[in-house]
Amino acid sequence: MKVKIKKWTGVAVWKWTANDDSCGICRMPFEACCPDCRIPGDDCPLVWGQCSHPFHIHCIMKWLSSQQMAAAQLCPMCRQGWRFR
Amino acid sequence: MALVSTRMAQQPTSSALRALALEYKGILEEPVEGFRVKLVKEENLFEWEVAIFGPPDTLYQGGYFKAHLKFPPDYPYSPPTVRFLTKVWHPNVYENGDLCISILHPPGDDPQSGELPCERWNPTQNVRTILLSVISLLNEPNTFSPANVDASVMYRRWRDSKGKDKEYENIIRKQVTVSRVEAEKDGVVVPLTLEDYCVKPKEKPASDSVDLADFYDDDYDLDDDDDDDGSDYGAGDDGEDSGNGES
Repeated sequence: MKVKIKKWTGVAVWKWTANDDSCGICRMPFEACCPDCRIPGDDCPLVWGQCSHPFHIHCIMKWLSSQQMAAAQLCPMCRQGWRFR
Repeated sequence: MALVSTRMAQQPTSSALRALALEYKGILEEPVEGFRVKLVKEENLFEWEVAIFGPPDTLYQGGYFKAHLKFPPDYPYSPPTVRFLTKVWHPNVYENGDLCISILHPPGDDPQSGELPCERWNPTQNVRTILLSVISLLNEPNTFSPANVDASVMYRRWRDSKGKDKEYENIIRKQVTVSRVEAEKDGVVVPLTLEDYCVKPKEKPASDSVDLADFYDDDYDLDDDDDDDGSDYGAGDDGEDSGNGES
């Protein structure tokens, strides 16, 4: 049987490669965006700390910027000092 | 809404609402042992009423303690407050019922308290972790920064005398007895054995409970189905919904 393809539609899926399913801060799935964004993906990316815990960048930034004391700039998950990886 | 926090005043409360709706749903589906949770008013996710069952083999065994959890508009960036409605004689509970526990304190304030930032609130804490902390604090008070000094002194006397000084114990037991009347009024059977206490009720939330669609009106299938293939986010036909659109 010969098949002639007249038309095709490409479909792609994407997923963040993270150890976890959802952001521990906003509790939304990583594949969704933080509650302040509307479009997931590059506009609302994940960041990892050196401790390897990922968060939506907007969520972790909001938390860190609310902590004036450097000593309080901890990873919310493991409470180690937060440093971007 | 009269509650406006200064730092995040411009932030809509929708993210707090979303986080709370998720947590509430999660707790109804998979209750924390030793607790009952409901909303104070059905339409307000920012105030919860919890009933705490006194853990078996402790002074609190059989007790039924009610408390209100109040969440700030910028939750989970700021902690909720916990206030007992039932009289609780405890080193870490104020006269008015307010609970004093380090994980409910923001990291920034009161540096003199001696509480380290790592013991304080952070946004990955949630109702589940709070409730578990509360129950462990009940039986193991923190006497370093007591909210009720008299209770703290009395507790230490009881503890140091290995239970020979019964003043603390007697007060607790009396409060437990009183609280049981309240349980009866609410039609609640407080579990007395470790076995009953630990069994997680499998029952689904009653159908007359809050319709979460009111709060969380998205297409994500948040049900943790038994078959956990972890592949269901956004896989439905309703494709393009980011899960974050307001409806």
